[in-house]
Amino acid sequence: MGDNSTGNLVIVAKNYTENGEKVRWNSVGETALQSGKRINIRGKQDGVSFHKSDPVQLNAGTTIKVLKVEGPKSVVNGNTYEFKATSFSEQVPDNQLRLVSWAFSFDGGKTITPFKTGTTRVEKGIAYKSITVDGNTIDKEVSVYAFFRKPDTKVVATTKIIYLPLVVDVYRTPGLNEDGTDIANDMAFGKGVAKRPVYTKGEVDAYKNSYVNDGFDAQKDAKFANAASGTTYSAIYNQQQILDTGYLMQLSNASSNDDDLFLDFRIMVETMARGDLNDNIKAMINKFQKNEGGVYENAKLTAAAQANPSTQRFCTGIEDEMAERIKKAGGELITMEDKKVYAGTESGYKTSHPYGHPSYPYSRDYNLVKGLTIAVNDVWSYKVTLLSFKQTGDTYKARYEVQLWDHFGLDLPDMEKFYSWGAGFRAWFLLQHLRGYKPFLTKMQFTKEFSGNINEGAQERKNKR
Amino acid sequence: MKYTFILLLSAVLFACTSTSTGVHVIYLDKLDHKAEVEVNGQYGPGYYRYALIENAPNSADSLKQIIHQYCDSAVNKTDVEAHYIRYFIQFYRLSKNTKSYMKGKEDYWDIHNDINQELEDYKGEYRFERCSTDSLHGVWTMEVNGKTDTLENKCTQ
Repeated sequence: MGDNSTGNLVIVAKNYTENGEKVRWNSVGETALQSGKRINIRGKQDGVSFHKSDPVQLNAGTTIKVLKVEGPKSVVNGNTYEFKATSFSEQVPDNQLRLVSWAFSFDGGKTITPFKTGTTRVEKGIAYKSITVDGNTIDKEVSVYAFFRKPDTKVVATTKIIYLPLVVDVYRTPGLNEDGTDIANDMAFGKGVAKRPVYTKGEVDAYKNSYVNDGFDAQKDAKFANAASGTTYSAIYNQQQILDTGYLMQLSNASSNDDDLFLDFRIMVETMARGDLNDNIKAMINKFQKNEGGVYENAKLTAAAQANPSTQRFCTGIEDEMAERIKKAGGELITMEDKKVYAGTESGYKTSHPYGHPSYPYSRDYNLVKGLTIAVNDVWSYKVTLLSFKQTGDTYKARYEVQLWDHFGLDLPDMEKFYSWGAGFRAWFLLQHLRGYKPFLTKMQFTKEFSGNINEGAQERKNKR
Repeated sequence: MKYTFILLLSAVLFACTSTSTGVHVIYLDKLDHKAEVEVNGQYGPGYYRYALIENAPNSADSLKQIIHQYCDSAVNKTDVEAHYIRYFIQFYRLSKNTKSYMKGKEDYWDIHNDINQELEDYKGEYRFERCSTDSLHGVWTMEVNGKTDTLENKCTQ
């Protein structure tokens, strides 16, 4: 072989096989094995061995790399989403794309944790991975990596994590006046010695903030429901202002003790509510007489409010609004949250909130005789929260909570009008503002579900109805 | 004489028709409302006013013209800028539902009948709001059919 090494031998064949008991290749220079696909070396009995002093170098330059990972802009925690590896350093057949590995990081790549399972599916040169996000509310983003040998921190899809519940809409704050600057007039009570302001700006701002973020806390926010221990009077009207509303007010005040006034109040409501809501209004008056403030809830009242056409119109409107936000965000919840407390007097409010708020005035929907008017009349404030969101393809199902709040109390403008001539209302007003009985918050809370399509906003939904 | 009478009758009929389709702004003085308000973190006095438009046109340009003309004569802008951090007049179509607000708040039930709930009849507003960075000046805007135009902006940037 060494003596006659002057020529070249080239074999060109479709298939070429060498068989022998022993086959040996010797070369002074480099021996190259090249394959357009794969090189298989098999040592059936004793495996493949290399001489112990010969270094084995694996040339990493030939490793196939994932060049691009794609995923949604946002994910809802607990929901499943598909990420995909869409670009590679060379063309890779689908059967090899199954080898793409996946990993995630909640800290921008400092700690990268592999998923225990690999690619979920491969289709037309793209490797897909279904991922269920399980963040812990502190994690704001998740980074997803796709790779063959080890993750490249530059080849990543970073996605915002959205945690439910999400506050969708807040109108006014329970217990505060319409602009959220002090106590609501109809939540004030006392013995005719006025003092304004009742709350400091710091108190109000802190309460508004915690109400939006954490909800009304019966313990922490007791003051705003007139339920704090050792509550002093929060009178906003002087005795003279109260008695100046009319001669009959003076007469009621002079001739009636507290029990007489409560009797007048109870006689009046007998005509204004029937059935379950008659029991409800009696329970409300009993609570008022206990002089404990706080939050009042009643399942029958909540059911009546939920079934009322005004509430139904409101829910349809808020569902349209949520659908619109989902459509505008391309099917995601990135713009769903709105934590601003609206007073209803902001510029553009009516256009952005075309659903208003539920109210149960006497002149509509037979509210007076049903008993909603006397118990609630007008919802003072509300809060809507998205609780769950499950998407399948382009369709989704969502569940949300509605909290409606009202104040069981009266203010002076109420009394200055016609009804000050009604003994029941006079009694209520006197008990609250001159005898020191505490008004309280009425809360009606329920959840609802709706379904939609990510391509359909408010207008498309209206067109379908 | 007979033709004169017919002519006269036609003129009267025509006059009646013209009146019934004429646009009128009905100011709801009984709904005037002043309150402590919050604008861009500033607390101060606010003044809210309401009006109905009889035979309100659908055209945004016509509505703008009506609201503009009315407010030019009804609003003392210098006085508003000196006293309020928010001021607006909101306009609603005169309808079966909004008609009752002309009586104001006559009884307990009406007082809670909030005109702000009459969204189907809401047409627009003329508004002043104090600047967020300038406690002396503000912005005048007009919203019609959901579109807001800035009429005057005196805020220092």
